[in-house]
Amino acid sequence: MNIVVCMKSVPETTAEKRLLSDGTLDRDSVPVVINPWDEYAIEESLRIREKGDGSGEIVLLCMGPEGSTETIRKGLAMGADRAVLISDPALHGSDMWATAAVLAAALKNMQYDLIMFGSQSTDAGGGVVYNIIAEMLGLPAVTWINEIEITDGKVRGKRGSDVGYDVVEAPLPAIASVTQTANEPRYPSLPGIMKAKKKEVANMSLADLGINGSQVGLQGAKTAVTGSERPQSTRQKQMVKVEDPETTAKVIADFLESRKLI
Amino acid sequence: MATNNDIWAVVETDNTGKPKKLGLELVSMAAQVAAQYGGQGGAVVIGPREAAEVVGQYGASQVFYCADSRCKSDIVGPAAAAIASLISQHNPRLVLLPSTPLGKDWTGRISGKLGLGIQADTTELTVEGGRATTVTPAFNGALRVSSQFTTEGQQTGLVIVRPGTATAQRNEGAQASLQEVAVPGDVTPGMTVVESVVEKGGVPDLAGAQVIIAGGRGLGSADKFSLVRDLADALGGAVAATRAVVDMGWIPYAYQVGQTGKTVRPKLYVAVGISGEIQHKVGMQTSGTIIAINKDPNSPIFGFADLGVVGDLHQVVPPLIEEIRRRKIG
Ligand SMILES: Cc1cc2nc3c(=O)[nH]c(=O)nc-3n(C[C@H](O)[C@H](O)[C@H](O)COP(=O)(O)OP(=O)(O)OC[C@H]3O[C@@H](n4cnc5c(N)ncnc54)[C@H](O)[C@@H]3O)c2cc1C
Ligand SMILES: Nc1ncnc2c1ncn2[C@@H]1O[C@H](COP(=O)(O)O)[C@@H](O)[C@H]1O
Repeated sequence: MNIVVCMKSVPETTAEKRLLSDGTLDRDSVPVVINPWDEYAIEESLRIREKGDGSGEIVLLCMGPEGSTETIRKGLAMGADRAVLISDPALHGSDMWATAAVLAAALKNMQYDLIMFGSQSTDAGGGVVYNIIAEMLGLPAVTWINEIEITDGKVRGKRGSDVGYDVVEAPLPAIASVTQTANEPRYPSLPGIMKAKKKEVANMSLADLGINGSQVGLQGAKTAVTGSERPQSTRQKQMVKVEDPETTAKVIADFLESRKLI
Repeated sequence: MATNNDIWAVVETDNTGKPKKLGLELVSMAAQVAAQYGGQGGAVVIGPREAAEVVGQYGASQVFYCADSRCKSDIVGPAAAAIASLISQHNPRLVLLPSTPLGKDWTGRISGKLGLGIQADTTELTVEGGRATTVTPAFNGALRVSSQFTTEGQQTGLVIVRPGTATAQRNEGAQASLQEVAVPGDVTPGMTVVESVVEKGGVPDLAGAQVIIAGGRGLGSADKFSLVRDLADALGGAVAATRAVVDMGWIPYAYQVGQTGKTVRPKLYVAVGISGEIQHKVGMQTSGTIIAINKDPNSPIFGFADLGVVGDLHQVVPPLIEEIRRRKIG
């Protein structure tokens, strides 16, 4: 069974974010990591192979600046076999539809039974890319699932519902997007890190994919950022220290009443 | 094909066939936005005629509904095909879709079919000079990003809207025209529901909740989560948790707020025994009022709380529950 895992390189959550004069994020100033949701997708892909007959390839697919190679190496160190990185200056400013179009074009030339995704990305992600791709490739998709399983040529998982959960499935080849699962993404081992250095990271440009730069990036985007600002914190930050709990309870209740919350 | 000035809302229904609250918010929002363009509010309901009738009371002039049972076995493919087909027949200017897993599934499929642009996770929408600007929190809420459709007016824009962005406004006398639609022929299969499991105690609608009481590791043990539940009962709110608590198995993942859990925006968020690490903060920082109870005065949660209570939660929460109950009766 061959699995492609789509992974995005995102700014580290804890990093201080600086803005450029045009209001966009200064991406060069922040350390990047694998989108945390995608780490779960990588972990699940490795588990699927380990639970099965151990055969088949696990390939990482990433669209992003060349600096993404470092993050990709971490995914390779976890155990993926090789990676494809799509980098092109013309991709700057791509929106969700353009991102999906590029990934779909790359996937058309790849071998897969299952394409895995995280259910959303932590930077500006909308959790829609994989469904656009599914439609473009004519594939079914089980999304927002955990406890993922492959049985009888089908991918299956649990998806939260209003009243509990649904068990959902789709016949392979298919797309699956995962949530946080009980299986923590493994830390790369030292031998894993050494091996990853020698694994292939194939660079592809838009020309390699037969895509015209005007269809993607800022030029082809159907949405455009018109501004950005830091939200102003208006928190009151009033502090009370508990001396007598009964009195504190009254203080909290008064506060709730003053804000019409009870 | 140029669009008209109508704004539509897409409405999900629950397992009893009733329209979901977020859908009704979007219907009222669509009508308000449409008025600014001189167009009309419309709605597409995936569910029975009764649901469409309810939706008609929230501001939509025309309500399409798809009651085909195929939308229940494969929850994504048939519904997305039906909505896409309506969009290409009628060309509304914008379509508002719910920011839920299913709403996002539909949006992606529709965009993939028709090549339409998407604004995701919208928390504000304004119209100026005939153009819509949407606001989305990005980079874990570190930035508020405004965007526009470059294709507005030429092709329909898909806007995914978060709960609480608009208020559902009911007008019982409203007369909407209802029209049933069929699932078109060109359906790309999505996913099949093979089993629906009802969990005891249900699942919280955290994304839509007005009041949330969240518990963290500071509770000390699983049975002490009852403090959080009792406080939630007293305040009429929902219960949530940090990942630390979920990882220890005190409560299921569906209750987790934060970076790899749910994003919430209640009017009141009470954090009980929660440190307020960034991965938790990003899921709740846009809440209206934040109250934190923590014994460590240097805990990060106090950096973004409106009221910070420094002390032992086991001492404070029981009298607080009593005090709130007393005031509610009095
Ligand atoms: C990739 C990634 C994703 C993550 N995603 C999430 C996520 O989605 N959601 C999430 O919540 N976390 C997430 N985390 C984890 C996050 O970093 C924190 O570890 C977690 O939020 C801490 O939970 P906590 O506040 O319950 O526990 P702790 O950090 O252990 O805090 C417990 C607090 O309770 C206080 N306390 C203890 N006893 C008492 C008492 N008797 N009375 C009052 N206060 C008391 C302590 O002072 C302390 O501040 C993620 C981490 C990573 C790396
Ligand atoms: N640039 C990208 N390269 C590779 N995969 C991506 C990229 N953008 C998004 N994805 C995948 O799509 C998922 C959802 O992303 P998003 O729609 O941005 O929230 C992510 O978890 C990734 O698996």
